Amino acid sequence: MNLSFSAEDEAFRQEVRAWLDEHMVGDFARIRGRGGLGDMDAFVDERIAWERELAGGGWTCLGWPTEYGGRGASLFEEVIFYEEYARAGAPGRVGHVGEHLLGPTVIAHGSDAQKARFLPGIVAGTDLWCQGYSEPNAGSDLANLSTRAELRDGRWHLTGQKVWTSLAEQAQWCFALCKTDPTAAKKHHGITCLLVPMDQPGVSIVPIKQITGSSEFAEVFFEDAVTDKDNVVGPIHGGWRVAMGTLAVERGASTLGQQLAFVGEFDRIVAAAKETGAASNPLIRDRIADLHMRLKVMRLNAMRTLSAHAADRELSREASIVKLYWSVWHRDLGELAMDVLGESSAICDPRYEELHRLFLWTRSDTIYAGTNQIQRNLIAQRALGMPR
Amino acid sequence: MDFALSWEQTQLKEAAAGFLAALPSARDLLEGRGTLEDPAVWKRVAEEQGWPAILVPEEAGGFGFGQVELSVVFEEFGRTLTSCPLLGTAFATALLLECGDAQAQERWLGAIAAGEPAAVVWSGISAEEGPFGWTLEGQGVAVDGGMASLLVIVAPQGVFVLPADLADRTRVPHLDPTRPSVGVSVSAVPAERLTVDGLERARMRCESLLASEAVGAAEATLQLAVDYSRVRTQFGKPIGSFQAIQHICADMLLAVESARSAAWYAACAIDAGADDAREAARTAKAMACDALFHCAGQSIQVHGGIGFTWEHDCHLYFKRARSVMDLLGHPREHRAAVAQTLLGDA
Ligand SMILES: Cc1cc2nc3c(=O)[nH]c(=O)nc-3n(C[C@H](O)[C@H](O)[C@H](O)COP(=O)(O)OP(=O)(O)OC[C@H]3O[C@@H](n4cnc5c(N)ncnc54)[C@H](O)[C@@H]3O)c2cc1C
Repeated sequence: MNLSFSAEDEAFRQEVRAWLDEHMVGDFARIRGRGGLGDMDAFVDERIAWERELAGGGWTCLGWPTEYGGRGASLFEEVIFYEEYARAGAPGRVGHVGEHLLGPTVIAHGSDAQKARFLPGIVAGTDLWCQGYSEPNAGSDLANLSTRAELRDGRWHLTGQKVWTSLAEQAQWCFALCKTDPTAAKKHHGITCLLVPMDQPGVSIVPIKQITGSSEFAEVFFEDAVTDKDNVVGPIHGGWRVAMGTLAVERGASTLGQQLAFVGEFDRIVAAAKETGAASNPLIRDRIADLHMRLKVMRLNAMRTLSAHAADRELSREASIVKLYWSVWHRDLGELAMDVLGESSAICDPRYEELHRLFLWTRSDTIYAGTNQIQRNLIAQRALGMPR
Repeated sequence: MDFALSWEQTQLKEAAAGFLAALPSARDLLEGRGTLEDPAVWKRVAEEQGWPAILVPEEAGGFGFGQVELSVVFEEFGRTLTSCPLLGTAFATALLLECGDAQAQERWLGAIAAGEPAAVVWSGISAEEGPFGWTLEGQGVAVDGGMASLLVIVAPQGVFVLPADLADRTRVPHLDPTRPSVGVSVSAVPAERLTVDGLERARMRCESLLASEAVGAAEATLQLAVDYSRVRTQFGKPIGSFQAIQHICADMLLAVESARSAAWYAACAIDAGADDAREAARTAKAMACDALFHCAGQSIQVHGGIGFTWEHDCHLYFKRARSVMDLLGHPREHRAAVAQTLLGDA
């Protein structure tokens, strides 16, 4: 057992750190720590500029193969990058969906022409994507979706509604799951994954105000929206397998390095506990120590997963365990954030605005990218092999 | 970066699992098939397997391996609830290793490596220095100490060693029947004082071992629950197909795997002499004991009525879970200590 990174990996860490130090200046320094989860609609223009800055340094799409404009980084290097990114307080990524969800999906299932057309814009930080999976009647039961797409006159025509679509207002493109064969015997058989331009008359976006008061996600209405015949990822009617691949990525590698971002939040709460005097309360002390220990173990779990899967990059079994662990931890941290504020916790004090935001935002962590109940189903059935 | 068992460590784990599987089970022992403290078994543990010598330096006749290796063995002992008295002996070894000078190590650790079982009394006895050296006074409990021929005593005045037959020993009934324990009583009994100030380091080794042991036991309770959920049918289906049961088991897996990460890391940090080894051992002890208690309780629930019976193994794990919680600091106390380093007196 050995928990240190190799000399090459450490050199890579220094390179990332040096670049971030050098570039997180000026306008970018002003948005340090902003635009993360719960704050995704903040400083959008600056963060779009930041995407391009990252791209200029070759720091987007690290894990992609070099032939698609990535760095061909190892899983270790990716995790190191996320760790340093969090340590530097670099702003929340608006390019996240393209880089982590759509891009890998196109690499795995797309045609050469699609790769040539769509990947460069993601690498360059110029094309932003959103994920159109969920619908009013298709959440956990994603296969129940009903947005229709039909091929007419050489184009796909889409009609239906998506919901909870993060970054819909900023994105130029949406990858949407649509029903293309309503007569299919099994409901996950007639589904197709389409790439749809957002800027067209058939697409309307209605922002949804969420628990935090901000609007990070939206309803997306397709009313005879169109896209080219060729903008299908994977086989027609074969989008379900494509979608499952995306979800595995969503629950996988990119979360392994986020522990350091959590360290920053945890430290902030410890500082608040000292300011308010809550740090002398034995019950609060017990919870602070408990969360501290669990946070350390979060990284250890990640390192074990990494050690086991650096070579095969097969994270689907562990992914549910990782997601369940961090989402519950984060929610508990959110609750502690209020409790350290003491009896005036409900007062909106500008000094502690981010603690309120954390408390409210963390209610979503146990819902998106597969609810905790769905994760437990997966763990029981896949990792423990319990009967269906 | 390779946070996984090495090939050698995996071999050791498999050897331990194989050895323990061939012994009478905890249930056999409690029902009188074989004896809980069997000198013949201990002789094989010491001579065939050499586990008591794992931590003992080569100069003192041991293998000079690390905490990680011993932890691997402890995980397997925990799984089968075996004490045998490796736990008592390992505690004594940790104290002698960290608190004894070269001479004391050679003498006492040499005896342990050669197969003498030992045990520790952590509290209740105090020491006094007189014209003819140190003497001990008081009474305490040596967990897993029924067979010990050496005793290590932790007193406010230091850490002491003595041959066990100098002390009065009586059986004390223990909530956990797989943990034979003895009351130790001494009055004006001479003992040797160890001279190195290493008590905290020794405690941290012992906490780490208890954590690994608890991980093995917790995983066993999960396995029992999952296995049972496949074969027990109600409402015409295996109970393992009910989501309520699946979610209980999923949470158990999360607890077990996280506790294992914590326990492995504590052992690694101790071997590496890392700055955070003290905290890592507390984290491991606290998380593994909490995980075991949670899992042992949930395993009873998954089993229904049969889990509440004397005949089933569930209660053995449940009793182990509760008794190990208070040994060397309740999780709450470890959290209080960690809070102190994070927050100061505040
Ligand atoms: C902040 C945020 C951002 C999001 N961004 C996106 C996005 O960009 N694109 C996108 O497509 N979607 C997005 N989502 C949607 C998200 O994926 C869904 O909310 C999620 O899959 C749950 O679906 P639902 O909301 O319909 O809840 P439901 O599926 O209706 O679930 C309601 C409750 O029922 C439980 N439940 C449902 N099925 C089962 C079952 N089989 N077993 C046990 N319990 C069950 C759930 O756990 C939950 O507690 C986002 C959601 C949030 C909160």
